[in-house]
Parts: sequence; C-alpha cells; structure tokens
Amino acid sequence: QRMLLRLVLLSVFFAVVAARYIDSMNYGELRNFLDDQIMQVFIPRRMVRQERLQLLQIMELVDAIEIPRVNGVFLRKGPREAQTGTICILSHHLIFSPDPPSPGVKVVNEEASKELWLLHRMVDKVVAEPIAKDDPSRGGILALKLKNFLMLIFEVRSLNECFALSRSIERLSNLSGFQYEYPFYYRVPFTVLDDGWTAFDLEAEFAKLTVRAPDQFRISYVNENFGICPTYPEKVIVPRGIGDDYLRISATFRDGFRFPVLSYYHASTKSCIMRCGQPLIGPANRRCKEDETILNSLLAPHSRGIIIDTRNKNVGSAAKSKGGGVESQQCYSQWRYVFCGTPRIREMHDGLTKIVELSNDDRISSNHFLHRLYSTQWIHSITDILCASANVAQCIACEGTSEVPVLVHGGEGTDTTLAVCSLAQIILDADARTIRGFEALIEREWIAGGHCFSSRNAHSAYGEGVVTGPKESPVFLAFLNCVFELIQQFPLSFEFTEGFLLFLFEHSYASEFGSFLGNCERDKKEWRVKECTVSLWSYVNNPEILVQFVNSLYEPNEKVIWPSVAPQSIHLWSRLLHRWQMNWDEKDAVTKAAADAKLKEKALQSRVHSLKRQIADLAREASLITATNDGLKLTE
Amino acid sequence: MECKQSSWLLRGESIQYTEKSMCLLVLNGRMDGQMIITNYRLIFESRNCDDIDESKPIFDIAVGLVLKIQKIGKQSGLGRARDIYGIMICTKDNNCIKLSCSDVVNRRKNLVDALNIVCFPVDRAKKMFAFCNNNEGRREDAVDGWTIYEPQKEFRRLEIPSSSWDLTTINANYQLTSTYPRILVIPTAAIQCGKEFMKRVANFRSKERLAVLSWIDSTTEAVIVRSSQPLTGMTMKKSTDDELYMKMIVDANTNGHRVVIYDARPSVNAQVNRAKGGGYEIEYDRCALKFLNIQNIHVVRDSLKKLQDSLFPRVNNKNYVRQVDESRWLHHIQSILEGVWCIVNTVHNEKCSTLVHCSDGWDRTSQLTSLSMLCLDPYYRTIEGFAVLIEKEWCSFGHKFSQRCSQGIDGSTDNERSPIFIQFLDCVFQIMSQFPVFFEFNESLLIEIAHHLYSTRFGTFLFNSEKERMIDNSCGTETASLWTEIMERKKEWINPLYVKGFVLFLNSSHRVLQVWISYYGRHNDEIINTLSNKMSRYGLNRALGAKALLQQIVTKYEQSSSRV
Repeated sequence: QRMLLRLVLLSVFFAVVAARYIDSMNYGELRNFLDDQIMQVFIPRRMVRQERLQLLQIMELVDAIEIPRVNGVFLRKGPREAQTGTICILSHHLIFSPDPPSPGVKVVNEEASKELWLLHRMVDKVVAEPIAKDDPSRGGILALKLKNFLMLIFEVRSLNECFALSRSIERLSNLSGFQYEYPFYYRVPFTVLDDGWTAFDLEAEFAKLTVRAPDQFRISYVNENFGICPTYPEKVIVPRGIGDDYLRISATFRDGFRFPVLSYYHASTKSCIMRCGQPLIGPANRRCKEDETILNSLLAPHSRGIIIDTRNKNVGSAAKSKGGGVESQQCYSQWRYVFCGTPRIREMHDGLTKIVELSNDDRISSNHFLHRLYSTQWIHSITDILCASANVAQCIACEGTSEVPVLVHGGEGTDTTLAVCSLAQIILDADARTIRGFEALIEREWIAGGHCFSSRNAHSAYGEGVVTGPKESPVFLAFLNCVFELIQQFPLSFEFTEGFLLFLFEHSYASEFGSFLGNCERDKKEWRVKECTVSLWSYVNNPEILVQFVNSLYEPNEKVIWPSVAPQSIHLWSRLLHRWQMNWDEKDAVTKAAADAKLKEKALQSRVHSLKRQIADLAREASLITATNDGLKLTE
Repeated sequence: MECKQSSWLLRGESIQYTEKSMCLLVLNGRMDGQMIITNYRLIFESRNCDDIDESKPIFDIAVGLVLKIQKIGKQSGLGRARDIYGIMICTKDNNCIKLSCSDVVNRRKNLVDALNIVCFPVDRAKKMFAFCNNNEGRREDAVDGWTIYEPQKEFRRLEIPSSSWDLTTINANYQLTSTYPRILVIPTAAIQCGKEFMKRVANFRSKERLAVLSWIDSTTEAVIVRSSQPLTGMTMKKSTDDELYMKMIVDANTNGHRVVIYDARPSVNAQVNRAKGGGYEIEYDRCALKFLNIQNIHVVRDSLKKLQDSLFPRVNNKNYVRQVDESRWLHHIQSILEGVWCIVNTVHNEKCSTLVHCSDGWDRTSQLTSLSMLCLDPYYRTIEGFAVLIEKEWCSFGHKFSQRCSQGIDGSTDNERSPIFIQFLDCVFQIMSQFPVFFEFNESLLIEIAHHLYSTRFGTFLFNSEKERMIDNSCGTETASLWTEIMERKKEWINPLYVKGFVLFLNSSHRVLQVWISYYGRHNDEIINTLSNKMSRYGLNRALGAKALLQQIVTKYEQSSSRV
C-alpha cells in the first residue's frame, strides 16, 4: 500500500514538474533535474512516516525556484578569478559551472574550472540591481553576500533573469521550518566509522567524572521529555545530595527554568563550574530556599563560593524590574558576587557588522584605521569575554586553599554564560585543547547546553533590518574568536588549528550536517535530527578529514594556559576577517614548512634510535672479537 | 667578588665608578644595591642576592643607549614622591630607570658627573668604547666583519654587464664626494667622458651625491640607482650634463626605454626644498618622476616617541589603540612599504631602471633602496647577505649615524636625532612577518642589530660615512665589527623554516602591519612575558639539539666501526 502511495505521488510530482519546466529545458536536462529530485526524495529512507510530507516540501522548494538555470553569467568577484559560466538553482544549492575553455586554450588553473557549489543557507543577503540605471538592456548585477563574509558578484545579461534569480535565492535562503533544511536530504558519501551522535554520551562523560570525584555528583533524569526545562538536555549532572524535587522547585526560580547544573569539575583543586539562568528575584525580592540549598551543597565547611555574573552591574540590577536580578547577599551569604561584564548579544552583532564592513572596504585609507577598527567594539567584546573566562579560571585554579565552586550565569544563561564556561575549561583543562576534547566541549556546552543556534545564526554580518530579528548574534563566532586568541598566544598547546575554527564557524551557519540544527535538544528530538541527519563529528572524525585540522606542532601541555588580555596581545583574527581579501599562500607555506620540519625531526629521531642500536650491536661484536683475540693470545 | 665581576667584563672594559648605596625604584617597590659604572655599561646589582637567580645584574645598560640623565627629587622638583632623591636614566630603546641615592653632599653630583663622562664621551673629547674593545682575542678562524662586504666581490656577484656599467675609482680619495664609498659603479659611457664631466654631474646634486648603481638585475638589466636631489633651486636651473648622464643610465638598460625616478619626499616638501636650493628633476627626457610621500626625519622621530610612550612604562588598556593610532607610526611604515612595492614592481615587472632619491639621499633613500633589494634579491635575506646589505647601503653610502643615533653625545634635544635605521629594521620586521620562510635569520637578529646600533661597542655604526669611519678614525683596525660578533653567534639567528625564495611582492596594506612590540616594548616585562616568540626559539633549540645529538651519535658510530 505504501509503495502504491509512493508511486502515485511520484507520478503526480513528475507531472507537475514536467509541466512547469518542459518548455524551459531540453529533455536531457529535464531528466537530470528529475533524477536529482528523486534522489533527494528517497535519501531519507528512514523517514517513512514523513515521506509524504517531504515530497510536498520538495514541491514547495521547487515552487520557490523561479528560474532554474541562467546561461552566460559572468562571475566578476568571488573566491577565484573572473570567469563566465552558468548558474543552476537546485532546491538547496546554487551551482555555478564555468564554461569549458575554448579548444586550444590550455587550462592553467585546474581549480578554477571546477563547479562552485553553494548552499542557499550560506547566503546572508542578496542584492540585485541593474548595471546601468538608465539602460536595463545591459543586464543586472547579482551580489550574494555570504555568511562567511565572502562576496560573490555576478553579472547577468538579462535584468529580468537577474531579479528572478535574486528572488529565488532570497526565498530559498530564508525558508523557515526544519523540514526544508538540507541536512535532512544529505546523503553521506563516506562510511561513518565513528557516529558523532553517540560519541559524546553524557553517561560516558559522567563515568570519567566519577573516577575523579566519587560521590559528589549524579546524573539526574528530572528533565525527561523536557518536562522541566526546554533548553536543557534530558540528562544533566547535578550535586549528588540534591533530590529531583529540589531541582524542580529551583527551576521555577531560574530564568528559562535553567536550574544550576555542573559544567566542569577541576580535579586538581576539586573546584567546579556550575551554570544556570539568572534568579527570578524580581521587584518583590523573591527567594528560593531550595535553590540556596543546591548551591550551598557544593560548599565544603568554611569555604566560600563565587558567583560570576556575565552582565555588568547596571544591567544586572536593571534586570530586577523585569523579574530577573542578582542573588542577594543575605540569602547567599557564603557566596561572593562578581560582575564580569561581557557584551550583550546585540552589541556583538553590531560589532561584527561594522568590522566586516571595515574589512571589506578596500579603498579605506590607513588614516586612523586602527582607531576605526577598535571603535567597532568587536575586539572589545572578545577581550571582555576572554577576561571573564580568565576570571572564572582563576577562581577555580588559584583562589584559596579549599575548593571554590563557581556559579556562572548571565541573563538567560544560553549565550555568554556558555562562552565563558567553555573558555574557562579550555584555559584550565588540557583535554579541551585536543580535537576530540574540543568537539566534546562544543557538543556538551553549546549544543546540549542550549545555545539557540538556529535563532542566533540565522544571519551573520550582512543581514540587516527586515531580514534579521532581534535574536541574531554571533556569540558562537565570538567564542571561536576567543579560542583563536588563545591559539595565538599558545600555539603549541592546541591539537587543532585555526582552520578548524573557521570550519566550525562556517558549519554553524550553514551545513549539510545536523549538529548545529535547532535551538536545543528538544528541537532535535522533535524533528528526529539525530535519526535523520549526520552529525558533523561523524564527518570530522574521519581520519582523512581530521588530518587537515591537526596542528603539527602540538605538544601536549597539561598546565593551565593563562591568557593575556592586554590590548597588545589581542590580535585581529585576520584569517576570519580578511580571508577573501588577502593571499594566504605565504602563511600556509609556513605551516607546511613547520610540519615538514617536524616530520624531519621525527625521522632524525628514529635514525638516532637505529644508530644507537647499531652502536650497541657493534660494541658487543667488538668485545667478542677482543675476547676471542685474548683467547687466541692465551692459547699461543 | 672581583673574580665574579671580571666574568662579565668585556675586553677593554674597566670599572670607572662604583656607588655602593643605591636604591632602584621599580613599579612595585624598591631594591637596594650597588651601581657599577664601566666604560661600556651601567650595571645595578642587588644587595640581596636571593632576589635573583645566579646574582645576575638587575639591569645592564650599554652607555651608548643612554639618552639622557636627569636629576630627580628635592631641588629639581621633578620627582613625584617626596622621598625620592636621585637620578633618572632614559635610554634610546624605550627604557627609563629611576634610582634614588643617599643625600650626602656631593654624592649625587659625583655620580652624575661619572655618568656623563662615560655616556657622552665625545662631548668631552674622549674615545668611545668601541676603540677599547678591538678585535684581538677573537678566534683565528672567525669571519672578520670588516671584510664581509667588499665592493668588488659584491658587484661581481651581481654580474654587472661590463658593456654598460663599470666600477670606477674616481672617488678613490673621496675627492669627488666625501660621503660616498671609494668604489662606485656608473655607466661605462660616463667613464669614457672623463673626470671633468663627472665632477660637473656631481656638482649638480646635493652634497655631490651623484646617481650611482646600487643593484642590478643581471637578466633584465634593470637597475636601482641612488642619488641626492638635483640642485634646481627656485630658478629651475638645468644641467645638460646631468641630463646627459641620466640619458646614459636610460641607455644602459637595453630592455627599458625609460627611467622611473622615485622621489621619496612628499611633493610639497620637494617644492619647499627648492627654496633652499634643492629641487627635483623636471622635464628629463624619458624619465618619469613619482613622489612617494614619505615624511622626514623630524616627523618620524616624534611619531616613534609617541608610539614608545604607549608601550612604556605600562600599557594603558583603554587608550593603547588610540595612542598607537595617533602616533601614526604604522602609517609611516606603510608609506615606506608602498614605495618599496612600487620600486620592486618597476624593476621586476616593468623591467625599468629606477632612480631613488630624497633630499640628501642618505635617509629615506637608503631605506627604500635597501628594502627593495631585500625584496628583489634572495641573497640579502641570508644572514651574510643582510650584513652586506647594511654595510653597502647604509654604512658605505653614508648615513649620519652619529647624529641620527647621537652616539657619544648628549642628543636628547638634538634636532638631527631620528630613528631612521630603526624604522628600516621595523620595515624588515614587517616584511619578515609576511614572508616568514624566506628569511634565513629571525627577529632576534634585528633586535640585536638595533641594540648595537646604539651600544657603541662596535665600529660598524660609528660615524657618518666610509671616509670618516675608515680613514679619519680608522675603525677598521681600531675597533671590532658587529658582523664578526653576529657571524660568530650565527646559531642564535637561524630561522629553522628558511627556504630560499624569489622576489617578494609585499602587501603594504594597513591590515597586515603590526606594532613591533618585541622591540619597542622590550623593557616592559608585561609585554615580554606575553610574547609568543618563545615558540621559534623553542623550535630552533630542539632542531639544533637533535642535530647535535645526531652528530654525536654519528661520530661515535664512526669511531666504533673504525675500532672494529
């Protein structure tokens, strides 16, 4: 019966598609196009229940394509030299295929003759305008501003086609609704050896934790089916002596029902980082005895804890009138309160927009360039976040003689709170500086921690006004930028390279993998993301892929890496902001040379070993010979 | 104690004065100790030896680095705290030390007098330390730094086509122009015109610094020629001889049909110079004139002062960027690098000859020619080549080192003082950070050279021209060369990633420029502690360590196999 349904639907679909495009395509093209669509329909085989729905969605996607193909487009500006070619629009991709070189012309650059594939999701802003305002016959310019700050400029011969392209891309890149997301249609071209969805299971992490801190924490299933807190995962780690009933009550006292949970445990000082939402003290000065008990259960006798607020003092106290607030000194008498002002999400968004605008401006004079650079406030944001993280790390590693639990929260506890907690772990814990550890950190702190990727990363630096809502903000990018600063200061202590950070940055905005889909674990479960899509980590952990992200100079460093936040130590992340404006061959050559030197060193070392062995052998032989000589002499 | 002291005393160094009860004022407190003044350096030793490991001196300043000595406290009223009564020593590499001393009558006066004598010996007609520290006692097989650059050898290396250019000894006695080296390379056609012609040509240029060859690309025959400004004056004087001479330079390059003249000055300054008798080339046949807008020594001095203030004694977190920006130092660096890019482009891509000059042709001109050559010729990016480059473009062609660096004289108020050479090293640093693999040496070499630019320990950077240095003061025999020392410690400067490159096309965009904090902030502990250049040193040590180990093993292996 199901097969029958499928067939019927398919034929309907064929008919619709055929009617629509039969006149604009020749037969061969049509077949290719349909093959593509059919493939996409049948990829998510596991989604039998939703198949029908998906077929309809595909048709909706196809609906959005006003013009599937435009010939003779000139790529004026992009990641490669200017060339002419054809733009094809599929339901999730834009493909620019360069025209084959005329016979007799030698292909100089192999790279440039390849097709350029672009996910529609990657497009941040589309601008279409006529080349000459008074003469529409000269065609139009189609500018695609991408979320990774690349700008593509096409010249299209016909103005109408140009506008049609622009409308199609605009619509396809801004579709809302999970069902349209590309990861659901993506089929892996590789075999998944190490499934990223199960690689970082909380129970395994907890097993490691119990070795270091027995009897201090437990896994609570209080949030099963997301009954308590929508943005937390179903399993969370909480102090051992606290019952689920206390957690439930505490959740009602915390913003977003985010009750205090464990983020990190530092074994050498027995201190831990907890995070949560702001307390809902409100104008009425509410208090919650259960919440106080949870926090106090972390304290050893006579020790004092520290609460780090990622807002500044004014914002923190102003939140009180809106129902939030800061923990009062009377109720939390054993806790010291510290404000570490980090930027608000809106400030970060504006900062990024301005700094990207500045770095795209080629004509800008060097006159007061630095001043303008710093007035964008982006670098301040980075410094502030780094500073707050270093403060947290300092509380954990250096304060006092007995353990010092640190509670971190801001407003909702889903943005800078996560950035600060995860950076503090990178500073403190050598594990988080390995590739696997870093992946685990992102999975645990950001993805499971409830950072709303879908809302925050819906647009990046170019989107403005109408298309962006108040929720977009490059918090995750700011976090990556902070990690870059740490790599810059401790180049040998990280197993991964700057390239890995850029890779994560791009995938957090548009990806064929499901890791950054949705705003929280609940969304993921609702849309069966883990069943129907591939995890980014499944891809990254493939040995062939992984090798490009490995820092060849890595030397495991168990120590705490204390970053400098002085202005002369904070560098602009050039590779991020000037990635498309500058030639990076030189820098890559250095990295390669360093890697080669490292390889050579290893070869030398193994040669030393083999020579040592030979010496030992020879020495033994020599002593044998002397012995026999002596023997001979004796007999003589 | 005596024995310990002699361990750090250099050859020819002797203690001149010792002040036992001094107190060093540091950012967070004070430290008792003694100050030792030798003819080469000022040393402060802590009385409490536990303070520092191996009882190293707390500070150790070469006397040449001292910019000014000031009395602070009480009478002069400069000290902030009332209990400070002592002296303040400011150095040319952005350090400032405050010491308090006992207020017994004349103690401070004696100290300051002693300091003035050792720090500013030339003002008092005494010899600089370089003349006490000569070459003797060096290893036999050491490279002699004075012979590292030999014009004949260098020009032979450049493969000058003898048909168009030739060496001339016309300036052998420094008669033609006293600030130029003895051996010059000029067009063969000009040599054939005779001495009188050359004299007339030289007379039309400021300080008789006529256009001579600096570098030639032997394959394309494009050359870099340097000179000083022509003396056109207000009346737009012309010289047929100079024009003929320029024509010879144009003709010497068979590939190019013109010469591009780069005037390093802003065009406004060039106009102003006409009032003083100088000027620029107007309407020369087959010559194009371009101005490069590089500011003069006074602007550069003030700019660096502002930059240094932002890095010492402590960095102001809030205003650091604004201060760096307002110093406009990076802007000046950028204008030089843009000029270098133009020259490299003209010489290499357009295959045209270029003439570079500014006013006198010994500040901006030297910067431009030497940096262009550094980009064009991989030889100059080796340690030896870099030494040759500096010897050639700076030392032999004349740069007013003694005024610009105020060597041996109290130059704190001298208008002629300017960190032109430091700016050159800064530019090298910028190019090096862009092309880290194409340099045989590392940043430490630049810092070492910058240090000895002021230290007066070596004769290399003393005096203003080859004539003054080698003939008038015979530095070649009386003093040691910096390059001897540099070549001896070659291991320390090696860049482990070095590969020989080709022509470097640098990016002069302000996006890539950075403040050279490891030099300008070298006395700010906060900055030095956060620098990551430990990495390269670490890598180098490992590489060298592994190499040494391997060597050892191989010798052992050979020994044992031969025994067998």
